[in-house]
Amino acid sequence: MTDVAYLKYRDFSRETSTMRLNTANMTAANLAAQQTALTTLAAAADTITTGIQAERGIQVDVQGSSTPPASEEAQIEKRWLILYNDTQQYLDPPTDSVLNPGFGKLFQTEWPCADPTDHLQTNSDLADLTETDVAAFVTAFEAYVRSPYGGAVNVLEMRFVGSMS
Amino acid sequence: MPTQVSVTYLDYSRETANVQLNTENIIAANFDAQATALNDLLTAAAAICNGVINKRVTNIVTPGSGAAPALPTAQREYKWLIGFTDSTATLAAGVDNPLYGRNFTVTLPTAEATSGRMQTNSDQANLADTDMAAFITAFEAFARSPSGGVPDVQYIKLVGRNI
Repeated sequence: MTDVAYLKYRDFSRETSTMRLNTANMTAANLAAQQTALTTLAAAADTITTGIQAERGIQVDVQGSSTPPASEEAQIEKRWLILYNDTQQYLDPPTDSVLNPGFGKLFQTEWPCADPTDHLQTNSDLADLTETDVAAFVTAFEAYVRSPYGGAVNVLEMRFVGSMS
Repeated sequence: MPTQVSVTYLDYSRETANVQLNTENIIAANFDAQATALNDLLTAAAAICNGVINKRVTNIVTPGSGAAPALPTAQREYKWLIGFTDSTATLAAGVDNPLYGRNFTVTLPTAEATSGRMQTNSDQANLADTDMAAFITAFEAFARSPSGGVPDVQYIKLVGRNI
């Protein structure tokens, strides 16, 4: 199993096209070297192409299970709608010289296969953020997730919703 | 720029759905810590979700330019078709590479087929051309076959594609 890298090009008519490559698995030990190798490849490709590189990236791929869950209740149509905001005023702490344009903005994401059992407020679609499992999720979410601007986030609300797909 | 993460869930009827997240920019120094934080998040999610995680992809992005090229010949429909073989016989001690010797192709968009870069009256690139040779060196250093073997570029050809 390999990881995947890509080079995305924009042409004269602003169409885009992407080249995908398999590459070595990324680890902490080789990430910097692999990024340098990709930069070298991108530079070499520049000399034999006429497009402009719109983006490049490395996709660290972790395969999970292909066995479906046993519970009939496990449905992607059941979702947690997570509302959060960007709580980071500056993007370069502790210098605090770069204002975060996303500071205070609201964002939302949906998490499929929601399990509402014991996780909702009484007679409500809102999750009980103080319930043990929900609170642990919120803590882990806030530790890992960033806003599209890069700021730390604060979960404001989780709601049990349905989705068509 | 934040790194983007996609987690794919599988449900009871084998349907899939993704959750897309941004996280802090991943570099070598925080690579392991971020992997742990993602594991923690997915473990916490497992307590309030009942799907199975089918796949997760962390996309470490380097943004490029937003400009369009000035050359009208810069068209994604012109491509370099790169043919290579997997040249790694064993992936580790005692582990044969099932794809050893197999042929693969990838395409590189907006090919620039200037004079000297092509073989005479041919669609085949001149692999001895300085720029081509540099590309091949960089390609073989970075790319891998689907099993992880090192590629050996056999040819590069100018082709046209619909997109």
